[in-house]
Amino acid sequence: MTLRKLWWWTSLIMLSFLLTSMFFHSAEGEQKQVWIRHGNKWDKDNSHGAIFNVYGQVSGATPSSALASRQSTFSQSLSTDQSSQIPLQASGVIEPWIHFSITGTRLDWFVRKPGAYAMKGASLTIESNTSVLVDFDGFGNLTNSENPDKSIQTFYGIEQPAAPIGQVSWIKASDLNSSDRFLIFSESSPSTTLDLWNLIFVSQSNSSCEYEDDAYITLTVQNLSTWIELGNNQLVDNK
Amino acid sequence: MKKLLILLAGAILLLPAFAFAGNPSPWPPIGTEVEVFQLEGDAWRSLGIGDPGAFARAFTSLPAVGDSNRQFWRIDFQNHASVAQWVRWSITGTRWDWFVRKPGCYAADCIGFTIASNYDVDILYAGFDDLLYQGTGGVTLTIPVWYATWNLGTPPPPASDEWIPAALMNGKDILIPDSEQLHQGLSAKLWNKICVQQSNSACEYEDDAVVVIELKRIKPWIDPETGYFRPLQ
Repeated sequence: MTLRKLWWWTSLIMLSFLLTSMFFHSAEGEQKQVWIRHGNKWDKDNSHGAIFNVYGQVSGATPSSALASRQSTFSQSLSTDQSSQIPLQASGVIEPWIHFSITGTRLDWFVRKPGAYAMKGASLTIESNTSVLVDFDGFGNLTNSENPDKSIQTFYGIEQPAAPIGQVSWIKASDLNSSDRFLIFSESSPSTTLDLWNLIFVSQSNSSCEYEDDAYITLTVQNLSTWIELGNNQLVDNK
Repeated sequence: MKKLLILLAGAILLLPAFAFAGNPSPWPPIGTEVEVFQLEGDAWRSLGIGDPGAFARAFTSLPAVGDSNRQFWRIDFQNHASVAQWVRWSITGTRWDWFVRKPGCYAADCIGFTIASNYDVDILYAGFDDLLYQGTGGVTLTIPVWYATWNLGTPPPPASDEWIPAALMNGKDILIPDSEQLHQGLSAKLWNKICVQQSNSACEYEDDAVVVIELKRIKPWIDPETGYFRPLQ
């Protein structure tokens, strides 16, 4: 009696596993371990930087349905001979990615005397495999912390690296908000650096005080797939 | 001939007055110092890096990096300026010399004083007194002195309350509040009146006094002794 029960439960578990496996393979494919290269060795990649699925696994000489994925940017078919042709298709999706760095996100001026002063405040470097929109928001004159009606006139300049200060085109701070940059990258120019210059006019009428402006720069990656969760860098279907 | 010598030494000192407003940048600042350029006419002049006497210095901090497939990256950006209090003043003379031949009351427009600043300024007086006999013996050992702040070209009327006895000048604390007029510069004349009596012997008479200009807002990154930047350490 005990052996019969054991056999019955074992059969039930195996049947469930078989059905689940068949369904998984046919509908979603089988997710395989992805390996990432670090120097001269391979490590298991569990960071979800990439996923790899195999669909429609077959055995023997029976032609199978094609391996498939939802999106394809490249594909390849292989065959052995005419009599036993097994169509194989490898497909992959390369998602738009961005790597950026900015040398500083806070500028501190210490001013002893009235005058017009300028500095190269930050360098923004962007690498991507697609186009990127650089959007400036919230830029304005530096405002007196005690009297918001009083401010220091502020200008910015966005220039290529190594541009001398004499060639900087100064943009009124508030006008910078409508001076977005659309950067297009290609294999021949995969990165761009922009120097952010800052000019302030401290006038004789500016009282001794702290002056500040908070702003932000938004980088928007273009042509993103629907299965990248917005703003979270996870492989999630957003449909 | 009677000859009087009046000496007024106007020593101007800048005293530390720590008063903070807003949220000042930390000193030493975080981040990296960058080269600052100053516009002179149509040309830029480099102020270099690390000069405690520079008119302005700048630092950049809080770098950021991102590496992902995210669609949006928001980079918060902050620009902050800490403006120190400055003062520019001039005085037409710090020594006054009377030469008196006969007893009598005499008045003169002794000095002109201008001051400009970008915050409250305190004017303090110390050591003012009647002129003191400098020799030995003598009959009446002092010459009474009065002062008046008066911007007209003729002195205040002799009996006017504008005339303040010298000794009452001491401890006077004249606060000039921050104003647009102060930023552009205020001017004042200080009149001086002496009454030489018949009992004043022929001799030299003198008084030494001090006027102190106090800036009311010294930023923590300013060395109050020199007015320059504090060291970064």
